[in-house]
Amino acid sequence: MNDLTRLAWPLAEIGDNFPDSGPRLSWSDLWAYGIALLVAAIVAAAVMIVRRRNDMTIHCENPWKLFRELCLIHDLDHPSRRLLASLAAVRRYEQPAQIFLTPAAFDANDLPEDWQARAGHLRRLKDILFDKQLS
Amino acid sequence: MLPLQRTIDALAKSHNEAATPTLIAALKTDSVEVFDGVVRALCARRSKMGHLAVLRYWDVLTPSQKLIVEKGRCRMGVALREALLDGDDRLFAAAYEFVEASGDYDLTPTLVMVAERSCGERADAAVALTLNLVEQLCRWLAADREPVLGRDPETIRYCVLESLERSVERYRQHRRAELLEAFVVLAGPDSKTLRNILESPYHPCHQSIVQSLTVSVSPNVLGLLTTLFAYRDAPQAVRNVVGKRTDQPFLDALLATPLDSKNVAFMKNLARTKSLACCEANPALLAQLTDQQQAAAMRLLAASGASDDRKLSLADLLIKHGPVEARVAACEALRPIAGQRGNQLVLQALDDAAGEVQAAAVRQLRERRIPGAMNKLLELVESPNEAVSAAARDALWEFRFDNYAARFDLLDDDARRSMGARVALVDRSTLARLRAELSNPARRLRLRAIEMVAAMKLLPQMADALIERLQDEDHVVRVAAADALQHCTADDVRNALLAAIDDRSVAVQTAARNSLRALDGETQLGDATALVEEAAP
Repeated sequence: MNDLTRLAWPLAEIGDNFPDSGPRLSWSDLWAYGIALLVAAIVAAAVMIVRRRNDMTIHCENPWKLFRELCLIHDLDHPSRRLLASLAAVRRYEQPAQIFLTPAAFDANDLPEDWQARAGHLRRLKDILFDKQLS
Repeated sequence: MLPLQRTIDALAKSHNEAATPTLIAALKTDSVEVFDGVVRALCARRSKMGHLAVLRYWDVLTPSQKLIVEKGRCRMGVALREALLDGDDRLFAAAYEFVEASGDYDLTPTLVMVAERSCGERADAAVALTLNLVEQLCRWLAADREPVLGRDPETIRYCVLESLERSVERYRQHRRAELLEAFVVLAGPDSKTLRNILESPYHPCHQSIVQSLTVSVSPNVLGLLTTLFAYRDAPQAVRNVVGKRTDQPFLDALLATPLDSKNVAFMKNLARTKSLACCEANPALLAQLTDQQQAAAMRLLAASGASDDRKLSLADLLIKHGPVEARVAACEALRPIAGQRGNQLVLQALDDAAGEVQAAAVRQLRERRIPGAMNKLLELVESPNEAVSAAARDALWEFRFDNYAARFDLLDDDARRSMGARVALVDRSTLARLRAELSNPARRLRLRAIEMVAAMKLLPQMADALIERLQDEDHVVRVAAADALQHCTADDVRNALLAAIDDRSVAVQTAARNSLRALDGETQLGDATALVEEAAP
């Protein structure tokens, strides 16, 4: 933004020293500032949203954020997170984080056909999320 | 840390409110480990919804799971309150059991509200639980705050009492006498509110509280009643209740209270109590009492403001049929009661088989001015029972050696002899005192002591001391001793007198010879006379 200002000011001063010429800078010349401000606001908002999304200390009531919080605690990678989210959806849990408390949900036998291929991944996830005796 | 434990901890501490519905949904799990963890997490979270969900499962929880819930009780107050006030039957029962098990005193105001605003089973249960909690708290306070549970029981008492006091103020509306009893128990003898109620017959709670004090057998109520009566300025209502009650628990409590004459409050309250039904001369009532209790009953009645007739009736009954301890108490109770009936009972007690009873009667024989009392006392001085003998000696206090010695010079010969004989009988220190007097540095006192020995007819017992006086530095004392020894027949006396014939004082020699002659006259022996003749100049 500072660079833009430095660029804009020399242009604005051109012809100022000619008699009766008047100021050459009009309102329409401010578009550059406007664009710069808008971009800054969008960036700030994006940063805020991202920070807020990942700040688990903020009081809220967000089931998916809780899901992410638990994923973070267990250091789950993205494929595992996606698999858990899909499993919660298939199991039709109102709260996606419920999957972290339901060892029986990882049993692939009662899941649709297309889940059988991911049975091994589910077993590994179950071992990660639950004690051995529960697995 | 185990993975499940990590999940549970995260859900317990999460700032995301979605954790609560997640945990609630997980309560349906079949896994015991998960269920335990979920219960722990829900109890750890500050969520009324979660706590209520746990309470709904209360009846299926194992003891260890219930323990987990109880540990989280400090955060469950709101849920418990709602369960008690507006919960369905299952929730109410769960909250009731929870409070009963955990002893959560913070819920007492809620229980009081339930008891006041509803009727039927819930109100009865709330009342019972309130009374339970109050009793538990009283026990805790009485046990010197053991066990230590982190909170000061006095602070808890203050809070619970405040809610009960508010309930007392609303008594006109709810008419729950049990709540008044809880208040009475917890308020204690120093409560101004309780005192005001007891002293105001027109207070809405007065009748109910008096009724509660009259019929309750709760140890706390009985403790309060006896404390008020024995250690505080008891209001009229309390004195009336104490005067009326005859039930065994009350008797046990009252008669266990020590009667100390220094306890001004107790003595004052007793004096203002005109009737003590529990201490009446009622054989059926006395039969229920132990020996100590019968004695205590007699002592209480004696100190009370009851009429002499009632006191005499109980004393009569006890002296005739009571145990030893009670007979002694009855005898002592007769002391301030003058009159023929009292005298008869005392004379009756003099014939008692037990020495303690006789002694108690002996102690008041003289002050009652019963004819022949003096002779009886002198007779009892020689009683084989030490207690009786000591009591008789105490009663004959004027026949002390000191008294006799102080008046000796003022008495004529007859009085010296009669009083001396009694002093010798009554005062056990007489011989020792006479010996001390015989060794006194003052000549006058030594001479007087020899006279006292003779007047008391203790010459045979004091012969050895008199023989010692034959060696006295003063010849007048030696003469007196030699003269006095004529009444002693022991061999050593004779030898001592024979030795005294060689005394440097003629007066002593003469007195010794006279005494030896007198002894010969008594013993019809000639040896001494012969010796006297030989020794004569």
